[in-house]
Amino acid sequence: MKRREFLSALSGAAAAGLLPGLASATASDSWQAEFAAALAGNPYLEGWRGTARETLSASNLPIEGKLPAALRGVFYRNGPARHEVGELRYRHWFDGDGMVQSFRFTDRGISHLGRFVRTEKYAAEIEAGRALREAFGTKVPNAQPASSPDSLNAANTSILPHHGELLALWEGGSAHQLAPDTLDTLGTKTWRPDLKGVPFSAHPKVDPNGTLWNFGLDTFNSQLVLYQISRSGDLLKVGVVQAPEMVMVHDFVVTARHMLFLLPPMRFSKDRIAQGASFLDSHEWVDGRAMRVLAIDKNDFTTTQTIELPAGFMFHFGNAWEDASGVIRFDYVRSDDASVMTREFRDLMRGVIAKDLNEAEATFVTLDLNRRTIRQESIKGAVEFPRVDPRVVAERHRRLFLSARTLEIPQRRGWDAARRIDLESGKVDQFGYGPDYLMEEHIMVPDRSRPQEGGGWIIGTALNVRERKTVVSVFDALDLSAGPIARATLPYALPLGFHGNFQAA
Amino acid sequence: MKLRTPNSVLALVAALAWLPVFAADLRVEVRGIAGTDGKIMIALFDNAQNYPNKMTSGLMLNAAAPVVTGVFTGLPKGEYAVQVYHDANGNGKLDTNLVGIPIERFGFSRDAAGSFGPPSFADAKVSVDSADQTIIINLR
Repeated sequence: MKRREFLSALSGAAAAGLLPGLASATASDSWQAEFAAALAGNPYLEGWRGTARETLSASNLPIEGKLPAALRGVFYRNGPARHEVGELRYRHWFDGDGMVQSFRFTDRGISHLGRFVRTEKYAAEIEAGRALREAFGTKVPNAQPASSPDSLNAANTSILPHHGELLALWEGGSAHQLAPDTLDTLGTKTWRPDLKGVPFSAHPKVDPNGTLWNFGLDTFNSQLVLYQISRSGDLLKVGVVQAPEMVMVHDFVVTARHMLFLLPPMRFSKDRIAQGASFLDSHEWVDGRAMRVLAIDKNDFTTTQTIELPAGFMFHFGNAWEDASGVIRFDYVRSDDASVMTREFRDLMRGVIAKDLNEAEATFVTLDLNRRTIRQESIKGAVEFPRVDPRVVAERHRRLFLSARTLEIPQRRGWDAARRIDLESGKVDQFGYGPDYLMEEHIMVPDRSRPQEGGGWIIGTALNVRERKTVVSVFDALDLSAGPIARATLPYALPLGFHGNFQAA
Repeated sequence: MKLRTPNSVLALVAALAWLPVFAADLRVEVRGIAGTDGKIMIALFDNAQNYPNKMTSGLMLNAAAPVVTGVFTGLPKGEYAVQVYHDANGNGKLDTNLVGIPIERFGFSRDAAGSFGPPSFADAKVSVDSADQTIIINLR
């Protein structure tokens, strides 16, 4: 019998392994002390203090205004919340373990429950009392070798209710399944045995039929894994697309026929990570290279086209749609470079507010794949967290919701105004929170009795830095300037997080 | 007391002469087996050059219990690395996911671990001398 090569498949697994951590900060870590000192002088930094409390809950929250009778369900959010592990304060906002927040809207009012996602990493590090696993933007001293991306999974970026399940998302690995009521962690989500541990991004798109489209970026092999999942949670189709130097792909959009990705002019250095750099620091900007638009046919997951845009960086898309002649229009939030990620979100962790950064702007693209033409234009003004009415995903949208920065205060960045842009008229409707609040992503929740796009509510959280309490506010999505219809105040501050979604009752 | 005949003594000595002078058994105790499907595949490597793709010797055991033991007999003195995986679906290979990460459980001698790949031969190796020994490998 010919001897088989039992483990030859292992050599195909991602590239040069990490060497045991090169010397980085060991015993004394000054970032905890630096941040604490900066926080004493700058109340805005409260948003990045983080928490070690496994569970936070408060029922029957005091409400100003009136919760609309038709708004019933749960508003979920996710974000990194454990910024300090043992002696170590993470060097980047993206690193901390995820804590999921749930705001339950019922006939009896609004209640809150927040719990950490009990990932393998979280459980191991709680038991050990120190950081054990590598992180996105921090070189962790004496980290254990990781056998798979899920060894590092922080489950901290978004949370999606779909087909009766609740999924905590982190783009580097699997989704984690949580119990929708108790937020107990039930384990990682495996869509098919050979997809166990494959990355599943934090920005799936659910079209009005309930079909879920998503991707997973495999940085080491420069490939995208593509997913189509039915409204009842069955995996319908999987594809793999390879393209050179595909890195830092955080979000995407879908139209009736295509999936669209924007690939920033960056590359990943396997040498750097082998030499002990963090995952983030192993990425480098490539001057003179364009941003690539990658369009993939949704029906076969293989036919692709690439077209170039001027160099830029992005996190988030608004929406995309395709007209009868095949012209695609989409919007995204664009900045000239990645300094927000490489500098601002790192400086925050030691209590420094970065200056002289390129602003992120709402940017509108018209793309004709047949003629191979593309043009884009940006609107001035610092924005983020673009959202649309979920009923128009992948279809023509006329209203774009954003978080905007209108205040220029040296001690803070972040966002302070909930904004709606009517894309046909250009009209802007906005509510400013004022200087006491750090605003988080606001989402659009439809009112079933109002079928027009935008008929419904805008819901979001904001941290009152003066009171050190988080509020959750409900607005009429078509009249933001009227201010909140209802606002509930928590008895505590939540760490600032990232993305959320709503599960209607 | 009856003395052994010279012929049988010679026969015994002759038989013993076929064995290497220094040779020992290496028992591999594999722990953490989940379920009873498929086979436990154990691969032995006697040098870093052939590791991890071309094994020196292999064993295939039924995954009959949470702990199973295989034996490599009569190994010459030297340094060896051992890899194990649980071939639960019996297809003769370590299954990986779409991005190349193993999805069947595996382990290495000294419970050595690599980052997104096998540990080095140096981290996994054990020394075999004249005495029999048992090593324990925990599947992960």
